[in-house]
Amino acid sequence: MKILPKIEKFGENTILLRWKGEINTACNDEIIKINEWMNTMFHNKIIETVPSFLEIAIYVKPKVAIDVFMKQLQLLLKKEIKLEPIQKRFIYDIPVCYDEEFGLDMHEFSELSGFPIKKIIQLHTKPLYRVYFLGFLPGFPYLGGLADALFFPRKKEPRDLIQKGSVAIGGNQTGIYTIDSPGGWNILGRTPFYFFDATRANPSLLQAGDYVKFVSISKKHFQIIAAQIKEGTYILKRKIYND
Amino acid sequence: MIEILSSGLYTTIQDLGRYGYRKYGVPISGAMDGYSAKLANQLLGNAKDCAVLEITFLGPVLKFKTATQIVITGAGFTPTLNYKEISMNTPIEVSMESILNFGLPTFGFRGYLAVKGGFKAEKTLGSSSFYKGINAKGLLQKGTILEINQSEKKCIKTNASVHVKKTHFTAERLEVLKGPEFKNLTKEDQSKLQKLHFTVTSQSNRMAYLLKNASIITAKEIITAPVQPGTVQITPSGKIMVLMRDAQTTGGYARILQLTEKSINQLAQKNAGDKVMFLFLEY
Repeated sequence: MKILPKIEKFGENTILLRWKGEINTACNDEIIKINEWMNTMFHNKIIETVPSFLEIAIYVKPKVAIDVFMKQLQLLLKKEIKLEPIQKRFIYDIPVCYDEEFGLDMHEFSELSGFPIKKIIQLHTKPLYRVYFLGFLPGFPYLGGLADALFFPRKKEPRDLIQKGSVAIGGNQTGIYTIDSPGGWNILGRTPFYFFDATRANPSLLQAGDYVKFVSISKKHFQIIAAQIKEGTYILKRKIYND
Repeated sequence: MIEILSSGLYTTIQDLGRYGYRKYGVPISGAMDGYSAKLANQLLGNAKDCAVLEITFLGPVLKFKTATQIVITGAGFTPTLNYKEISMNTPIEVSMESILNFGLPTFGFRGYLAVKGGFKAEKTLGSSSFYKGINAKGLLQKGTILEINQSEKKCIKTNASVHVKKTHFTAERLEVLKGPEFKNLTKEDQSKLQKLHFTVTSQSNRMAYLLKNASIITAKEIITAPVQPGTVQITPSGKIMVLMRDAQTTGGYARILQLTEKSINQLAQKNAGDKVMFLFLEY
């Protein structure tokens, strides 16, 4: 392992692995791999784990002697543990309609940032965004890669309800509201696709380590895709991401 | 079957929670006071994770369409069956067409109703616990019919009954361990957290309890990181939030303290205006 995490307790039955350093894809790769390794090696000791930008929370079964487990982990992490490459990951093309009907804050965003709407769409659809981890809402991806020019403070008054599928910017991050939720981010558009389905064993379309690219679509195209999704005939474009 | 004649303030179905999906951002949910929920099931000989009704302050009015056995635990309600007072923390025989009332609690905030065999409630991602956006149910409404699982051991007379310590509901001191960002606080703020009383505000719910004190403690935001039920977060403007069962899985506020499981259950029994203080434990 390249950088050793600090290992500490966070309450009675939780262990935190904490990395110092920058948020980047290399560090995130490492965290995802160690997270996989933890779950494979210790599935009998662990309820579940939650990876984030620079930490992994390990929720330990109450019956496990946590101090002994912590020491074991500490020793193992110091050794050369063999980490498996990240399993199949995808690049998804996400259709987004940036029309003002969906992009409730687009006008204000354009006025305050000084960029014409066209330019905002161009800047927002250009990068390949990395899914660092999921959190905040069921299936909500924390995405990295937003253009500096689009950094924009959160709204002073959060909205009571933001529609599922809304694509938004808050601070230096961009994301997709995966379920209806209150929220304070600036809404630029909406995708007709849905990313979270509680009736599936794996309810989240996106997984940590995946990539997404936003593709601008017209209002008409939005309606067509929405209808296809309803019929179950729409297929989201994706390709395998190779390191 | 049980019909809800009146819904009460905030009545939901809960079990012990939805585990294994936090990595997808799905909250655990489950009974706010897990101790009382488990007790209700145990007294009936149910599995401890059977679905129960969580009753918040003002209870519902229920009509039983089948004979069964029930147990009520948690806050100090004065429940009546067909307008006659019944005991809590002990199995009660209920005949068909009976009407169950809860009234208001004289201590505590949340009660639990378990039925023999458990409520028959559809599981989503391994749990029947209500969470909006997961199983699309907000609260139980008037007119809803609740189904009961058939229990093979039907209505065996049990004499099980327990005495629950009143301190579970009235204890002001909540046991805490230091959180990851505790050391980022000033020495002065650290000592305030150990000495001051905090008041539970009315903006407290299943997601978080918001606490208040005239003396302001602040902490810088952090890079979004894991949080769990019982995490005490402090915001840059000085809000103190104790995350509860429906909490998000990750958060961007400083994680100052972490309640023990026992103190999460105790806090779940607090109402707006109640006072709490933190009792520091060592790792």
